[in-house]
Amino acid sequence: MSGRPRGARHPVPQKEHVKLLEIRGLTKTFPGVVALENVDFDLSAGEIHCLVGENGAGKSTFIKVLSGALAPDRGTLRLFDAEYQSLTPRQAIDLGVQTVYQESILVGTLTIGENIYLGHENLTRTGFFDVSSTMRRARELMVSLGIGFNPRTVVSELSTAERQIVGIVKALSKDARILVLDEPTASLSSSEKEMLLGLLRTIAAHEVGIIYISHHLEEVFEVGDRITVLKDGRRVSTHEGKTVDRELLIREMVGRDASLFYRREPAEPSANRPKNLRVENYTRKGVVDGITFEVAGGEIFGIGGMVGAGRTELVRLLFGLDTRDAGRLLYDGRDITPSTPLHAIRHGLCLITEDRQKTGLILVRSVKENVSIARLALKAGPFMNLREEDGVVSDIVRQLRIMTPSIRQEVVNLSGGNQQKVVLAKWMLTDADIFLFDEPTRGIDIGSKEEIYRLMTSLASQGRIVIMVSSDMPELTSMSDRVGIMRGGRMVCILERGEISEEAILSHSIGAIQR
Amino acid sequence: MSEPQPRVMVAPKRAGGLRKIFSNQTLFLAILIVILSGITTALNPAFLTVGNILNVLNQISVPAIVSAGAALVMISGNFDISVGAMIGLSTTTAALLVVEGHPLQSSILIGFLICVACGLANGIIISKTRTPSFIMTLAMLSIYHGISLITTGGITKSLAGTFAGLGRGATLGVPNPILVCFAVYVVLYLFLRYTKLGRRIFAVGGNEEAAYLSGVNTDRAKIMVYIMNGALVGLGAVVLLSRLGAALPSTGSGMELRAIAAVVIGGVPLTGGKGSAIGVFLGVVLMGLISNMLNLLNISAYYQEVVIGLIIAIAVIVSNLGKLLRK
Repeated sequence: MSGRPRGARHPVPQKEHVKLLEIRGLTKTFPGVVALENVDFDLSAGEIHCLVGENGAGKSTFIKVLSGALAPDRGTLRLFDAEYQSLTPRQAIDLGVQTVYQESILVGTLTIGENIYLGHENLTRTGFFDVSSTMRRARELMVSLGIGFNPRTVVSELSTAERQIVGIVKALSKDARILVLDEPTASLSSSEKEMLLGLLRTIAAHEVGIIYISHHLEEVFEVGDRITVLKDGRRVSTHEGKTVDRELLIREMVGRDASLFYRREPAEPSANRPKNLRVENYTRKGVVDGITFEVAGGEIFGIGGMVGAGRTELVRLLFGLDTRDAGRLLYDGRDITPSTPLHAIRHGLCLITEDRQKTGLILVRSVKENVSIARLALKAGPFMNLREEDGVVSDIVRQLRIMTPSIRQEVVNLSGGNQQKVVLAKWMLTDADIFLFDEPTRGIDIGSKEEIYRLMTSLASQGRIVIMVSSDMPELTSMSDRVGIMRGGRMVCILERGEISEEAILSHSIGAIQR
Repeated sequence: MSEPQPRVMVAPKRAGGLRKIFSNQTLFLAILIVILSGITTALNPAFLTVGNILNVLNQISVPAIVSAGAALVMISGNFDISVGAMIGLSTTTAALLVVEGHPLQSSILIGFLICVACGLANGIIISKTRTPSFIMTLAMLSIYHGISLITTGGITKSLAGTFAGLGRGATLGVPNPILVCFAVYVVLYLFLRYTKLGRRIFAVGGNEEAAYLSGVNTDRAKIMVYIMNGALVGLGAVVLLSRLGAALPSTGSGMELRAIAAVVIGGVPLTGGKGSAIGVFLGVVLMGLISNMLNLLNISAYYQEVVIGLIIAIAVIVSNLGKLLRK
């Protein structure tokens, strides 16, 4: 019955609707990171409430708490007039909180109707699956939302957008009262987006509350009744959707404490003539499109953009990990375009992947074996010199200050920062000239972060080429000499030293500035 | 420039105690073997005689050679369950050639090479088509077994005692199969420790993607693993043929599962990435010991099957306790 927000922080929506959700003081911390801090949020029936923020602002954590995947440390969730400290996934679904993720989870071999009612099937009186009532109900549900799909169509025949819509219908079939959408338009064309946004308005008109998360400000302005900005886990503000000034919104998304910045020491010019790396027309259909840029030796070239913009895919292509449709890589004028990682390593490339546990390290093996693996790939002959190996590995472990009781320790027992240093040690022993970093400090403590920054700076000052994909704004702005921004698989612009700012990076990443 | 840094213990491990025993599979197996030997000796003093120990080792030599191959395959994170059918195909072919009057040496060599070729085929198919090795070698099992049924018509082919030296003879009082088996394990130990390929097999099993990203040709490593497995199976098949003096398509059937069991007991996880030659050898010894013990205690062969199954299950559970305790 207490449907009004306490303290009346937010302007009450014009139409007086039932309050579905009130979140107060939501806090969630992970080791070393505050993912959400004292966040307030509410949602009324029939409202579309958008949530915006950079990568890592806390949006995903927020959804996970709401869908019951994570338990908050503090705070209350008031859902339909009952108060909860935390939810289980089952509870969230039973209460009518339905979450639709970027890639909707549907069974390709089943029909639309079967997918919609998967897990809560219509049964006949004798306990068998009731095909006709399933199809009838699916059709009725879709018609009520203005969707004309045939429920007997097999899902694998649908386009991404159509699947996304079926995913939403499936969520609604379980009596959803709150619909959470996480980046539903990430892989859709503009006409498909329009269709989806139209659908959202129809759903909202059925008195469902919608929480809509998107990187695309245009859509947010178009569809949002209210817009809440999250930054570094905190709620910055909540605006009326129709009246908000977009410049203000962008500023609110990026503004940040200066103390978080790492101050990169100015690099002293290298004695040798710097060698340039030229990336020419790198293309993989549907992923990365005609990327061309040049990096000078001694330079740190940052690559910014939103998640899904094709940044990881680009560095994977450069390392010869995936097959490209076009593109050449020239180092000092020489064509070194690799087609396999081994080929890339031989040409002095290395890739520090974004997920070190999954793709960077062999966790069950020792520090020694992990550090030596790439170095050994470059050596001829079938045998290893174990004594020499011990010496080389011990030296680099000492030099990078990898904290481990022994080089025989399994890497799985090391901290995140030390694991990342093991990855770096591996590549430093190959004498690589071109370092491709993908999210170099994700999930790493502050101390190790600084050490990794120092190492990157020293690599650059030795005339090597450093390319760094990063979603960490302070990292990107303080470490990079130039920043290339990717959006939708293209490099939309390159910011020169004087132009680098969080506002500029973000505006280009989300396409707020049209060139 | 860098001042000495204290080596901080990241994950303090409590030394000694149960945890250490369970986390060290080799030590655990050695202790288990000693205890079982003690019990058997107490019940039947005939156990602890040179004759019986040589007998046990002789019995396990062929399974041990085959298990060495299975260990390589499983460390790389794969399986090969076509091993028994490979043995059937290779022994029957060799025997058939001898029966048809071909020279003994070349017939035996062809038998050996058939296993190498089967291994090569398994390796290429699995690595190039990126199919799960378990199901793919199941298919190959059927093919190899079928071929040997076709060529022999399902009838036993006898060598008529022409090739008994390797399987039945002895050198300086030690049965030849034991010598072959020891040689295999010494080479396996050296291979895993000192060669690049040995190191890479662990890497591929530990994390294939990370290994590939670090410049390891993972396809080639897998193919090499299957070729080596084929060679070891071929060696085992030749020793077995020599000992039996005759071959059937079903010769060697079931060997693959015993080998997998021994390798797992010997400390290679089903996910791969870990293991040692000594551990696998002790795993085979443990299994041979159990079967010998049951014989000495006059337990019927039918019950023996059940008991062996139970002991494998217990050994695998116990060897996993280390992991459970760590959680």
